[in-house]
This record gives sequence, C-alpha cells and structure tokens, in this order.
Amino acid sequence: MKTPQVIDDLNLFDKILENTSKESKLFVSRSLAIANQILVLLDKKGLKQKDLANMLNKKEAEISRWLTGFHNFTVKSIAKIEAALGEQIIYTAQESQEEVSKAVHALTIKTPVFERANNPMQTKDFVSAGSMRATTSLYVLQRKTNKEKFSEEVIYIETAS
Amino acid sequence: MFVSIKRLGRLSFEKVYYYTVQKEDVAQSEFEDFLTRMEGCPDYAEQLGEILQFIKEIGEKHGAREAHFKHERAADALPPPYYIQPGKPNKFGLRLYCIRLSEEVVILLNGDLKTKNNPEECPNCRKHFRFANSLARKLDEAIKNREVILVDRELQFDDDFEIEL
Repeated sequence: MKTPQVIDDLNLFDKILENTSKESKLFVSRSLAIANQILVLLDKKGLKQKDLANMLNKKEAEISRWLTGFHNFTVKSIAKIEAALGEQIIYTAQESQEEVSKAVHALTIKTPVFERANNPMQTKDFVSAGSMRATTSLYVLQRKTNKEKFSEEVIYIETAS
Repeated sequence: MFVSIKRLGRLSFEKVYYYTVQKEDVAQSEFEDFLTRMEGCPDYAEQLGEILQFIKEIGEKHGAREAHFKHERAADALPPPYYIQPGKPNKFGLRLYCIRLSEEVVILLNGDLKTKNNPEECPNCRKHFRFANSLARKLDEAIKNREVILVDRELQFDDDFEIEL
C-alpha cells in the first residue's frame, strides 16, 4: 500500500485568512463551537436531531440549520435548547473559572493523600487537603502510596478565593 | 484523464486530514486553483475567508461531521446549507466542492461563484460539480473493492491504484 504525496506549501490559504476580518473568523469559531456542543450533548443523551425538534416544537429542518455550523444563535434560542436538554451549552470566562475552582476543591477534598510543598513552582509539589490558599499557582499533585511512591499526577490551577 | 490524490500538509490537523487532487499535466492542484481564482474576487473575500476558517476549525477542533457539509449527490460542498453570505452579493454565493470520506478525511476540490440553484445549470460550477461527483463515485467503488482504505486520517492505496476519470 502507498500513501499520497504531500503538498507542503499552501501560503495562499494563510494569506487569505490573515486578510479576513477577526469578526468573521470569531463568528465561524463560536457558531461551530456551539453547534458541536449541541451535537455532543445529543450524542451523550442518545438523542437525535428530530428528538430535539420535538422537545422544542420545531421542524427538524430548523434544527439541522442550527447545527450546520454557521448559524447565528440568539441568546434566547440557546436558553431554550439548554432548558430542553438540561445542560449548559455556553460558559462565560467567569463561569469557566468558577467551574474549575469547584472541580479543584472537590478534588482536594476527595484526595486527602495529596500534600503541598512550600515552593509552588516546583513540579513535584503537593497540596494539603482542604487548605486552599488565596493565590494562583500551578501545581502538580502526586498521589502518595503507602510506600511513598507516586503513582498518579494531576495538574490543576488553584485560583484566588 | 488521470488524477492523483495529494495530502495538504498545511491542512493536516489533529481531527482531520485534508487532501486534494491534481489532474495530469496541470501545474496546480484543484484546491490551489480554487484559492488562486477566488482570491481575485474582492466581493467574495469575506465569504472565502469564512469558508477557510470553517475548514480550519473543523480540522483542528471538531472533526468533519456530516452536519457541516452540503450534500451534492455523490459529493459534498461547502459552505453548509442555510449559510448566509456576508454582504449578500448574490443569491447563492461561493461553492467549494469536496468529498467527505469520513469524519477524519476530506478531499477539497474546486468551485466557483454559483449563479443558478441547480449546479448543472450554473456555467461556473457545472464542471466542478461533475468532476466532484465522478471522483466521488470512483472512490466509493475503490473503497468497496479495498483498493483504497482509510486508516484514521490516512488514505492508503494499492500500489498500482490509479484514478482515471
């Protein structure tokens, strides 16, 4: 079996993109991200597009239009879909940060075997369970086994409280 | 006419590898020809940029889901259905014909500004539409006969496999 030859140079592709407005590129990026998030949620729940259409009293063709990737969603439409699916589709930057903090807190509560050293910049630092300091640092957590050997590593970001 | 499939190194992304084809005795591949010709149409510059950004986003992040492509008989096209052109210079907009073989493999071909609803009636798009469909049917047959196989993002061919259209 053989594989195709590769064309390495495609400078015109990059040149055209550079000359495209930031707004257009962001619109494509955001609308595709939302469409795909909905598709992921439908897959996760074992639902088809027609199921979502029925939940929202819409025609399947309209749902297909939303999910092609260039649809200009309104906040109201997103809210309706979130309500129907029982899942959040978009997060603001602030909401994302809060979700990360919650996850980190849950992680440290559930894993008391982690310990934190004094210097947060070293890669083999540990975090004390329940002791969330008011700093923003990057830590690598390592799980201590009974024999002081480390079997897992998790990277997390601790945010200001 | 023989054509050869080439992988676009610049468009080999984590989720999708993009390919194109080159006709024998032609200097540029089909996708390069599309970019060269469409770059010279300032009325459609934003639309072209959106299509390329779409290609990049699908390749890097999302994969080539069926929902993101317009079916054009045996082949496919971009932009997807219901796309609203920025500026709306004409009713139909640009069309880039392609072949979506899987969520990880897409062959980008050629296209133009569509002027009629039926691509067979559009003087700009007719030849690209027909070429895409001929190639799509050949590839479907080759895949069934296992002369062409898809391994994740890689296309692999029998050593003596050729495409004649």
